Amino acid sequence: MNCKEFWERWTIGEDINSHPELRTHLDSCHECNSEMSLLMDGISELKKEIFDEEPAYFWHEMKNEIYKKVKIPSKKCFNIWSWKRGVFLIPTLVALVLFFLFTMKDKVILTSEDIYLLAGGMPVSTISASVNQDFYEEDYNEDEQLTENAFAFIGISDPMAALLIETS
Amino acid sequence: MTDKQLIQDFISGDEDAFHILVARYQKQLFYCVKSIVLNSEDAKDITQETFIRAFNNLKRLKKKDSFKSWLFKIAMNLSKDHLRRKKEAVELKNWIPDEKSMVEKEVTERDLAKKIKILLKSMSPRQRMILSLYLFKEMKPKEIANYLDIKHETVRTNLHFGLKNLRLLIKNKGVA
Repeated sequence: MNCKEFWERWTIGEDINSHPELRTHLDSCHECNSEMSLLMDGISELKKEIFDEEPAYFWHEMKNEIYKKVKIPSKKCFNIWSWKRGVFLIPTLVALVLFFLFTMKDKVILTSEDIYLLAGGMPVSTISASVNQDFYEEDYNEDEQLTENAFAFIGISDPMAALLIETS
Repeated sequence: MTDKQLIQDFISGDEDAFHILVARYQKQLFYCVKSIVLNSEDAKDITQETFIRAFNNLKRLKKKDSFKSWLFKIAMNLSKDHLRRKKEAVELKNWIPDEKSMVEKEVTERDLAKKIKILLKSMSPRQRMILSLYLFKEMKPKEIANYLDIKHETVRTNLHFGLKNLRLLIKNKGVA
């Protein structure tokens, strides 16, 4: 086989690997071999460019564009109103509500004061009582002091004793 | 799940079946179209349009088990229309440097790829499609004929012309 015949057969799409005579010529002819190598290098380079993997968002965008144009919801978008989904969704919601009702039934409900105490604070009732007590004690002591001062001013040191003297 | 089953589900009202079909063929279709139009954006538009047409006509598809070939035929027709519309008339003399300068210049694979790309763009849509499927998808002439729904002889004639030009591009312009 000569070079002309080789290229004639190659240009009509005959596969080199399926025809041993083509392969033999290519392996033995340096000129055809280097020409074919160059051609294949160029094609491989172009193939790399064509089949370069696109990023994930590219496919996602393409899909969304298709779904938008044919007016069907995107797969990613969860359609809550679909009856098929409703079949699963409604029993799931009912089961969740029932579960919480039964599990919360016997549980002690904490008041805001309980939470306060758990956090290490003083009881609210104690705080108010002690505050009141302090207030009254303070008030009382002040009044007593004033009375004593008044008795002292008129010369009576013990008002109870003075009263006994007066009544007797 | 087979294509046929998915199509039947889709016809019965299950739109999720269409999602599966898109996911199954999106990449294959895109790269096939890209090998012809040689541009990502155009390939993306054609792929989208192919699925939209498939969606609108799926109920009318008689041979449900030949969905894939039907889908690819839609894509091929759209690609052909796209190439006709675009009419990328590239004059070879504008980009092929003269023999002397080519001999002096070290030709890289990238340069060569660029030249092949421009050569393909200068071809008629049919010839370009045949050559692209042959070179990049490594399809045999008979497969291409079946794929594009044309005669085997037409594929051989176009392939002969295309590959001859490709060889001339390398040989006669001082690349080899």
